[in-house]
Amino acid sequence: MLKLRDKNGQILTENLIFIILNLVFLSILILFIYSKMSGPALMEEQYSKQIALLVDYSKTPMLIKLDMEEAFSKAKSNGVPIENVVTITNNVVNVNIAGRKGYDYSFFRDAKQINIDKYLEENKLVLRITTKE
Amino acid sequence: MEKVMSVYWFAIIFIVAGAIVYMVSNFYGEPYDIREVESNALVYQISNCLIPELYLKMDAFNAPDFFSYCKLTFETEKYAKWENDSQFFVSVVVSDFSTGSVIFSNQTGSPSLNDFCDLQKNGHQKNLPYCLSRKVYAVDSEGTQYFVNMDVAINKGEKNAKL
Repeated sequence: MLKLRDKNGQILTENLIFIILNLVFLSILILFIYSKMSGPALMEEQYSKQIALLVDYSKTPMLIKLDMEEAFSKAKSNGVPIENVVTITNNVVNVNIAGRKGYDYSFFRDAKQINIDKYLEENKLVLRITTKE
Repeated sequence: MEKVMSVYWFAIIFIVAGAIVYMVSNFYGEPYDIREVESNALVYQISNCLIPELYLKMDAFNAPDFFSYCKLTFETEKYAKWENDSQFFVSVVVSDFSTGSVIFSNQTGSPSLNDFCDLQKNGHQKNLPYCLSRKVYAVDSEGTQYFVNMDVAINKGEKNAKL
């Protein structure tokens, strides 16, 4: 009788360890996939290209509002002030979320002939594009 | 026996997980290719510059720098060898609708990019510059008809394709 009881206890422990190991393994895999999906590098590339294309397609005068709530919250957690997340120098857009050098992408509208005023409104990036006089 | 089975089980799980990690890394490691949208935007801006309302803007032909007149610049960010090699090629040719004679022609950028366009007649290849050709019908204020041919090639391969 005692021997039977001991046998049952061993099977349960082994199964439990097996299940826990499987769960740990799967959760590590899911965490890896999630970190790749919402990584700051991918977001920097996405937003800089999006902003460059918005400026490329724009007409003057135009007001563009882009929701960047996700980017701003990630930047805050990385210690990047939200005013510095998007910078436009000449005709190059830089988006910095990770706190490193960010991602640059250029647009072909001539920044010497058009004004691109950038400011923030709640969690939106606002670009006012006008012709320089 | 059960211990031997679980070893095989974990081996299979590792293989499957390895495959998933490889696929995810491959997918998210590839940059977004926006050259198609970018080239369409460029053609759109040039068309708007030449035909802002109804008629062909003949003043544009007399501008000292046509692309500057259209408020366009082809300078890029400091990346790889982009400062030395232009990442764009843009050609605009305006011809008479009836006779085909060229009224206006201007191009800018690296002409060598245009050579790659012939290689892609059967479809765009990611590691080559993206090429776009558009032909637009236009009329001037006197009713004379024209064709506006725009050829655009955008390289920027390092930031748009996994080379």
